[in-house]
Amino acid sequence: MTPVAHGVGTRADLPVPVTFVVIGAAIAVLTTFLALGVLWPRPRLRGDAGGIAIPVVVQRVLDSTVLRVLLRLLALAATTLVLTVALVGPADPPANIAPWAFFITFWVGLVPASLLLGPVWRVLNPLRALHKGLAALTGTAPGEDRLARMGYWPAAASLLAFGWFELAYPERSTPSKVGTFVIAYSVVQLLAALWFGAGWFARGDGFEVYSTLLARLSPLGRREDGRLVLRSPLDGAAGLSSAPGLAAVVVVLVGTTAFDGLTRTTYWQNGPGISGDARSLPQLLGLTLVVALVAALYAGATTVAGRVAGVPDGPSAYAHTVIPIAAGYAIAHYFSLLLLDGQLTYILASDPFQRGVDLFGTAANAVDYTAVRPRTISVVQVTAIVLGHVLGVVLAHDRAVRLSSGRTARTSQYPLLLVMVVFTVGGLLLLLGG
Amino acid sequence: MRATLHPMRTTRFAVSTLTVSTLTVSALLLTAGCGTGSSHPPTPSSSSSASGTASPNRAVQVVSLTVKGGKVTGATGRVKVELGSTVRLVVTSDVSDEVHVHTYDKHVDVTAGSTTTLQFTADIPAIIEVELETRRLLLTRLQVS
Repeated sequence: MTPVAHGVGTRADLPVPVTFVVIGAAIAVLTTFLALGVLWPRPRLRGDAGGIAIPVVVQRVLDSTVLRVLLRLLALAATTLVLTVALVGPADPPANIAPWAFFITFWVGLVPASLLLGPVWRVLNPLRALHKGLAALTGTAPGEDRLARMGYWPAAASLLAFGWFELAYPERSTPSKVGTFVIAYSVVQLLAALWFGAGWFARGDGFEVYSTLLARLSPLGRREDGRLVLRSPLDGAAGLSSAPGLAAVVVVLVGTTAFDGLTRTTYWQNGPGISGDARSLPQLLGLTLVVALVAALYAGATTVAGRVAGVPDGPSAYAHTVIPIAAGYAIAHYFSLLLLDGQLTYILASDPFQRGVDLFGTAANAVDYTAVRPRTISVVQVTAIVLGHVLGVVLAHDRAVRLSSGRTARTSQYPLLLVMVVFTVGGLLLLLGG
Repeated sequence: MRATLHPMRTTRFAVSTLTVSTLTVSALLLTAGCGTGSSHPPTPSSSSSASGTASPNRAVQVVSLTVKGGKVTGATGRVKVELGSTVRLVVTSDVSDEVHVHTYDKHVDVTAGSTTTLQFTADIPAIIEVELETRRLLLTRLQVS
């Protein structure tokens, strides 16, 4: 079967009604002007100092070693099972759990899980468990002191590699190809972690970094004093310390999702992508161009903003402001995939090797493709993009008044706000052209 | 701490203004949606063999495609289909393969040099692909809405 644009899936969302797009774009532009006019003149967001602590008892349970070890072992067992099915299970994608579990339940499910609960993949990451075992044998990591200088660049590279596999690699939904990709990815990650130390995963494992960045918007966060707190997504995002390559990560996230949106438009499907999945060159070129375009827009705007405000590294200083926009894009493009085609993971989990067993009583179920109405999908899509825009604008404002003040702070916001409007209206137009 | 009280209030005001305005998006969108008429998926007709008689107002929509030398002609690209209507796929092919309608999961074999027909009720609203399964050759996309 041919995947519809994304790694795996059988259907694509209908175009969003034009009235929705007009309303969404109007609200995005209006709130941008409103933000410039009414928002605070001095920095207000408290970052990692903010939040209301949850009861100590609850924190003790959540932070307990027993729970953490148990969760990581469960994740390791589930990953091993899915990988085994990928390599020796049914060869036909609709009968094999691996493509669905990997592209939908894991990759797409990571978004709501991280947005609601926090950095879940840092807790679950089976590679961390494997690394712990291997590091005990190999001893000290020789490259540990070089990790800080690389920043998030390795994560940007690994997310780009995943984006290429997910969106441009031919026949990527074939179970054996999914299995091979995951194993290759894991081997590279483990070798790098043995060289650079356990700190590597927070800088080089794209999946963990993605989850941790989205978790900055979660109502559940960790304050600088170590307490688990309930906090505003704005405080969480503002608390992210800037590092080299952080901007590259958010650009890759927005760029890859935007390209996925582009491949669902009639423009793409009747033009460069007319051959569907049969040709991979248009996909590769398209992906590269869209990521490059997002990078150029973002880097241009934040470099100017940084120069106006008198800070040397504008792109790094504003990177956190794009996280809500990336989250909005991800929800808009994959929400229906998770709820509809994502049902297959639970159906196939009952009989992973197709031997006629029914572990969870779901083996005979069929995917209910009418579970979410098209109008509901459209409302979620437009709301996610506009909400991401509004959070981004507020974060950009607070960062601007932190870096400079008065007229300078105001002027420094124009280029980034303009680019945010471009991202948002562009994102809405992609939904319209779907 | 009187000095901080006023800015804090401004802050709260600004944040709540923004929040309220964003939440209005959903409300507005939902209202806009109601105006254009709700589209409840109709009950699926008896089977794929049923002709247009299931819904007297809607004629059968014929989607004809021809595969020749690895090229597809006819209703390629994006074909708009009304939700609840009956679709009759007519595929002529110079190779033997299986015609597959994704999401609906309808299959029919086509033998080289012949024409095959697949009729079904379009009761799932989405954009779906129709392809020659083993060759992974995209025939067309149906936009059911």
